[in-house]
Amino acid sequence: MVSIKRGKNDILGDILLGLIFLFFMFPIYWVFTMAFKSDSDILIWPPKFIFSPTLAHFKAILFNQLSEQSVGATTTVNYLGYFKNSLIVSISAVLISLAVGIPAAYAFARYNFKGRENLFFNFLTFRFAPEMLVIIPIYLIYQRLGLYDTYTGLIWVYQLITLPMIIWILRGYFEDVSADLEDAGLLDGYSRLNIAARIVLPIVKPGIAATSLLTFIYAWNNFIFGMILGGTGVQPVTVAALQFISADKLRFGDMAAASILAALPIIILAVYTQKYLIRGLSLGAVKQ
Amino acid sequence: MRRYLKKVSFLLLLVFLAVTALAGCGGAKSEDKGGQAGGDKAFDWKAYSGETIKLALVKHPWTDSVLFQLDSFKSLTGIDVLYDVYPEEEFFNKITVVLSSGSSEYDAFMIGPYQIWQYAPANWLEPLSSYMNSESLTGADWDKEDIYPNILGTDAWDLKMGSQVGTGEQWALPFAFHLNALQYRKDLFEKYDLKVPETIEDVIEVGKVIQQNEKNMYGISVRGTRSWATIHPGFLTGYQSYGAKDFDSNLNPAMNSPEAVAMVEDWIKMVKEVGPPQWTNTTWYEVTNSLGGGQSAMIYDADVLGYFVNSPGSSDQAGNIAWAPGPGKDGPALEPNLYTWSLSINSKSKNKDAAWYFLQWATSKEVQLKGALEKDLVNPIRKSVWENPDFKKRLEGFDNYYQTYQEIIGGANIYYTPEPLFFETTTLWSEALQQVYLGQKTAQQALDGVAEELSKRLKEQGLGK
Repeated sequence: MVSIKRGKNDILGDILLGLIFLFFMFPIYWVFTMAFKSDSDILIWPPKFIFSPTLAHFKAILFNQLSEQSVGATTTVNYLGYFKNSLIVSISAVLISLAVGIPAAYAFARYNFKGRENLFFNFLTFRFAPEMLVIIPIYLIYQRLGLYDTYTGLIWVYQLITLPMIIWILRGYFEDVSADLEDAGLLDGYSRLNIAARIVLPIVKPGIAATSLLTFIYAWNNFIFGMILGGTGVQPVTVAALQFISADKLRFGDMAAASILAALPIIILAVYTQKYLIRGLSLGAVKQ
Repeated sequence: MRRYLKKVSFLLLLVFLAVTALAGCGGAKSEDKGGQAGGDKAFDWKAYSGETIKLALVKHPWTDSVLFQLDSFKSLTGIDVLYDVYPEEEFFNKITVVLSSGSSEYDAFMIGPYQIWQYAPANWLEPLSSYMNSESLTGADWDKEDIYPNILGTDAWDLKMGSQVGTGEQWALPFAFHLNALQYRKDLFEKYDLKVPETIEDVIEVGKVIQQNEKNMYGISVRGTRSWATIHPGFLTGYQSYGAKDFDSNLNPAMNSPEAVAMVEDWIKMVKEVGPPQWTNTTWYEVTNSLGGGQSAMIYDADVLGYFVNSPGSSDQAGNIAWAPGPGKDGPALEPNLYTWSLSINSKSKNKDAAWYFLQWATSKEVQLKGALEKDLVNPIRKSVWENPDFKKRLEGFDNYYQTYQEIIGGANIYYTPEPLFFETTTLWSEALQQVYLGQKTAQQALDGVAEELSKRLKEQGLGK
């Protein structure tokens, strides 16, 4: 073990890092406190750092109560309903992409076939077109096929986000697994399928976990597909957060509370998969 | 975000052009079942019982005021109603996709007068005159005469670019509207013994008194972003009082006429001396919050903004706001520009008659009155509601709201000339105001620039001379 001596510069560096940390965390901190502030504390100038916290905004969005009775606002927002939609659509989209993407990525990594690189690149092109550009044709097609405003439709279109990511990232992980291991398996009489399932998959498991989480975040954060291709019944939380914008006021507190709730699943997932995440991200960092 | 959305809507339009052909095919095939109003049947609220209509709505207290009565519509007609509610910007993104693709998803949707100038020529809107005048489709107690004709007229237009609103086909029915007026803090005006400003000069004077005596406060808040939202409220109301026009009768830009230049000079002087510190970022919400949060002493914007701020429990300044006609050139601006939220029927809808029943119901005396009394359907479009003693009583806590309304409703109208480039034009125009504000150009230079650029663009559309 090499011991590292800490000098003056390191302490300065630490302070600098701390400042940068504060700078980047501040917006998150601000949204967090906003969720617990009363409406008048949010709008006050100069801004308040010390305030008496309230749970009114969380109550408002979770139990459909209006935090501060004021003008309008009869149409309440079924926030948990949107939350459920987000979960259904994002999880299904990632699972389907994994089911299709893992074999595809394996094939791209291990088999030599004609047009392999072209096909591989083709998957990436799904991410090229701005979503806004393809949405009208998709909207038209969905209307005709009856996929508009359905979970199936949204899960399908989410493949544009999730599938290319999974194939592209996982291919790298598969390539990093030594071919010798598989050859050894072949010698021992395993079939290709068995090798993939019993040798390769366990090795790249951390990679799969990391990739799934990453894709899940992208799917979870998507706004425009749900907005245009869904109705109130299937739209995700990203669209629901908008419901707190009304003409009489912007319900900043409700919006902040909604954002925090929306970020929760991702945070929880990230905490639980942390060990995979770090291994996954550094897997293959050092080549043999 | 706003920038992004604007880009997005522009992209949408581009894409729309690209797929018009495709949409066209689809539109032709879809069966026009609802179709023309007519028949000799007597009017019957239950005639379309069992049908279902779907609405696209904007999140707004007015929408809420109608939606909370929805059960009475369902039991009255037997028509089931589904609806989606979105904030304004997302709403227009979505509805543009829906309408441009020829979809019949929504039977009726909300719209403002300015959008009509784009949607009606594109054949997205069902003409409503025949419905309004049909005895079998419209009940006798709907009473068109009870609706302010100038308010109803803001959604009527003969499809000729450059001809004013109020004539020709009816494209939508307004269900609530706001007028632009001055709103101010009563306590401050009393404290410093200030006279309610009648001219833009007065505003500057009053504003200076406030700024000298109140820490962290400025005189007046008006909108100032690079958007149509900056042009149509207080600005266009003041503009009208200077006798300035947006276009001449041949649709040639007149934003650089001597009256217009004088107005812009005064306006920008006001904004610079007593306006909000970050004027170019000031939207509807900042105007509201500045009044409710105690940063500005006055606003020159929609009368309903002050109404929201003044409503019990909605802000620190609740009960502390008073109204007056907006300041003008030599006196109050008695011809305010206005905005209506209206309802249109999708021309591709398969349930047009049922949708018309909803429009008719939402603009009926009963719904308007109940919305105005129990919720916030202010301003209602019907004279009878304004005459109602309970409604008068309700407005008592809103100092001079009623009187101000009575003074300016007669002259209220859409004072913008219908033309297809409304959103482009007003963006250019607001940009010019910002240039003057930032000292990059004189008013004359900036407005000449707008006029020149617009003439060019209108010519490309085959308009103007």
